[in-house]
Amino acid sequence: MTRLRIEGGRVVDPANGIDAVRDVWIEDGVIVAAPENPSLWADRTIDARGDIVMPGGVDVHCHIAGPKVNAARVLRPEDRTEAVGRRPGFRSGAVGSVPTSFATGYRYAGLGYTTALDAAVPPLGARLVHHELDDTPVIDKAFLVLMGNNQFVLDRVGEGDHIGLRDFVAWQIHAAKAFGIKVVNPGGVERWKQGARDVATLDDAIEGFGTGVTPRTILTGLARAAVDLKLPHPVHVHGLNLGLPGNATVMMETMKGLDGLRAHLAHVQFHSYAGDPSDGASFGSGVAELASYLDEHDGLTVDVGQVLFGETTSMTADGAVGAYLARLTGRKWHNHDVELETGCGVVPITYAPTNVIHAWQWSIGLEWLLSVRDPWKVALSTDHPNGGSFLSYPRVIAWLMSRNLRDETLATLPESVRTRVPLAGLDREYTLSEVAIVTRAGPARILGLGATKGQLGPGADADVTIYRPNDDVRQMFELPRWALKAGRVVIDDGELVAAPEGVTLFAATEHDRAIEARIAKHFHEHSSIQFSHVALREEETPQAKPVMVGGQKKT
Amino acid sequence: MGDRTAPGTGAVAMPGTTPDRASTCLACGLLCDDIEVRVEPGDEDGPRIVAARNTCELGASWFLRRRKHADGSPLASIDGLACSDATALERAARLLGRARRPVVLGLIQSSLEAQRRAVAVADLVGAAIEPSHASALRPRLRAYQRVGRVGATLGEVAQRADRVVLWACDPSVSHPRFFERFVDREGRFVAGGERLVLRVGPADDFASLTRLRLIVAGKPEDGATTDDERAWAHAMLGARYGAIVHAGRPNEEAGQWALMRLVRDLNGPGRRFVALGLAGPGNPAGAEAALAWQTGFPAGCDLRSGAPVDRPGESEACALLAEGRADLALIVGDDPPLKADAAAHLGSVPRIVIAPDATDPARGAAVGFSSAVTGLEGGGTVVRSDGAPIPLEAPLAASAIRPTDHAWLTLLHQRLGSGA
Repeated sequence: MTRLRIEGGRVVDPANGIDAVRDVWIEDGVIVAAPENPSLWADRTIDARGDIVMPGGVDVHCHIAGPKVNAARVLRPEDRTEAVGRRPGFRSGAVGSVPTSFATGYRYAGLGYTTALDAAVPPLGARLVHHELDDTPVIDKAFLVLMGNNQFVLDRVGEGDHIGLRDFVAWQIHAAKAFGIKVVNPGGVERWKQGARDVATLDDAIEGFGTGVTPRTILTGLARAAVDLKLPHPVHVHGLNLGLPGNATVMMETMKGLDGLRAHLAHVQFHSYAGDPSDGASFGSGVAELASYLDEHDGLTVDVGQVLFGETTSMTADGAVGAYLARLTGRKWHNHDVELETGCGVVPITYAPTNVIHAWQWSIGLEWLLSVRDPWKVALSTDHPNGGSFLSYPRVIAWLMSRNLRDETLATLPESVRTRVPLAGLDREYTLSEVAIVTRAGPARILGLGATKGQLGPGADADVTIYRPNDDVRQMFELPRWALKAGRVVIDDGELVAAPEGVTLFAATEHDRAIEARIAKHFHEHSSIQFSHVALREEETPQAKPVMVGGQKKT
Repeated sequence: MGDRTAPGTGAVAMPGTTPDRASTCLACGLLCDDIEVRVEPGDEDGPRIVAARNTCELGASWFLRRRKHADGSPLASIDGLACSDATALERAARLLGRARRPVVLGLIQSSLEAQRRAVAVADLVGAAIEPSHASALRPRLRAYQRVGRVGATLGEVAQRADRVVLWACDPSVSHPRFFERFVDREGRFVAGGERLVLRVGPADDFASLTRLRLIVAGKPEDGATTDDERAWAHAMLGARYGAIVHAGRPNEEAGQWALMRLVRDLNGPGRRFVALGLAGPGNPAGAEAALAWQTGFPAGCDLRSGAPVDRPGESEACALLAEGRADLALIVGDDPPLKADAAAHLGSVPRIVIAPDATDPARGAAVGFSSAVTGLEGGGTVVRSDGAPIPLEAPLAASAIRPTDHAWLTLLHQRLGSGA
């Protein structure tokens, strides 16, 4: 039994409405209430007087494992900027826009992040992803399975068979030991694989799957399945027309189309552009209306996908977007079509402050974070590594907390942009509490993990980060003084001192076994893998940990 | 594909057991996972596979090969003499701890689990690590790192491809069930319902691919363009979804680069095209995957400095062997194919071997750990060349007496005093 006391820090714990100096008590990896006899209690006391104590960071949308992430590691040896040396208890590796697996765990922990959700795993690759995540230490992980172009889903939508769709979703999450559902360009990837053009509107027909199969019906069908199954996290959406001028219109329609359902809209920065699709010069921001709509409607949350200037790697299950970027940039292009379900595109990308579009993208991400009034509805992300590395989060936080810092960067942008971007007119500066919401408390709640993550109330996982206040906010968030993962000190006085294993969280769905015969027939007819080999067995996922879905009781 | 029965057993008529789930065949790179085997309790040598259904000839001999389970060879040995596991682990750890320039070789007959552990061992002792297929992989890798690759899983080809171009390869020999499983099968989205199979075999890959690229780009033809090439280009341009399947060739970087460029160029409005490389037997793609996520280097790297580096021609394990600089080898599986000078040096340094035949004195191991045959006696995960991970049913696992290579490597890693 290990007992630990974090003494006298300023505890910023917005989930519990706390921003005050107090102690935090930890026993066996969990936050506990103050003991009756504090003086005899703790095995170790961390003197946090003068410091800021927050829950560990939670990344609601990143790409840290899986076929496309590993492809990027291989594709881009030139991207490695830093070697990570082995030392006792730690593995070697490399850091670039796509770090190696062990380095990924170390660097997230180094920032005081303790949980991360990989947002897009092809179901076919789930077995490999569990292996890779088992080699990603310190942090707790979870991943979403791609389902928005799944042919079994499209067939059910075409038949209007919602029960079959729901049962399939439950089976797929169970089979892959996944945490939830990701929808990427619903129907559009399948259409692109068929050699047709990518979809442009929510109501374009997706041929070959019965009647009425459109991006809208796929999206709402899956959103409803997630609601019916009481998944901890609602359907997680990468919408249509990513990156194209004028796509704010379809984003608004997407939000309206989800009325009455629940959804998380990912990397909205890439989906919030005004302008005419055929005219790049008309590019602008569509954030204002979208952010108001978000504030006024329940059931929807977003993460931003902030862009940072510099070199990074784009990676997406939206194969059509990968092809578009490859054509646009002429750079090397990894594409991998995955049977029955998805695509995959990886293309290096350099965001330049001198590029008008990139400058707009930078400003639109921050505009989102500063425009949404309810910080619980918006999470900080860079869509790592798409907009930039997760290692850039401190930089984004610094911009949120300082208008001056934003103005400094704005001043470096082309005049045609800095004079037009709505960001230039936003005075808001985040408080520490708001920072804590968009980087931990909010994402934890969005993921349905609010009982254990993103907060410091009794019963929560003892994932804690302690910062030394610093006028240089970026530096403060880059170099936490202490970090605890499940009650274990992993950063001690600024040094990463331990790399325990984390867990891979999955939703413990249950499904009607009757669906399995239908799925088996589908696999038999169309897959290159035997159906009996699809579902992961318990012994294959030693680090997997179930999260109860709604209505289930802990056993 | 019919039943394949071990000669002289009359197995199908004999009582036996059939595992619930199909087995996966490691005889070629297709990793067919629909093999139904029949296991007989057997004699004093232990259970054996007496029939394997759905296999090709290669697969049949892979499953039915006579493997003695209790043939008297020890589980562990030092200099060819039987010893206890603990003594052998102690000796192996001491050798690895003392080595100044160790290399870790093999890996491609192992499960992904074992491959992950082998990289961990290499990291711990600061070894250069290299999978057996590294020299064939490197030109492909260099081309990939220049241009990328437009690819797909095998099931996509089955479902969509209306053009299947066999580039200087004959899968009916190297990957015998390729046609049965992916071509001679109804595809849900094959345009027009018909597939055109094109066998292409130019003398010079790079030159021919370059001429094809000119035609595809609508540029003036190269004077050396042949009628065959015009016909191939025409067929490719007529695809809705085409696939170029390749195996051993192109075997140099320029050819690989030109092939990847051609496939990329063939993608455009109304037309998709992908390249599909067929791997050799075993689990080379698993080794690439584990090496890539742990070190960033799928063809191996040098971990001596404390972090992964790759200096071509200098720090590669094969170069260390060729130059006589390596002083110890940990070999997981068969000895790798090496050039004569490297092979000669490998023969002169102490070798720790983890393989089914590791304790056979003929293997010449300083320390030998006899391991289960991956896929038959030992389970785990393998990765197909298209990236699809597939579990191993290992029909003889229940009666296997030899630890898996993963288990040996785990013990060795622990013995070495781990951190991670």
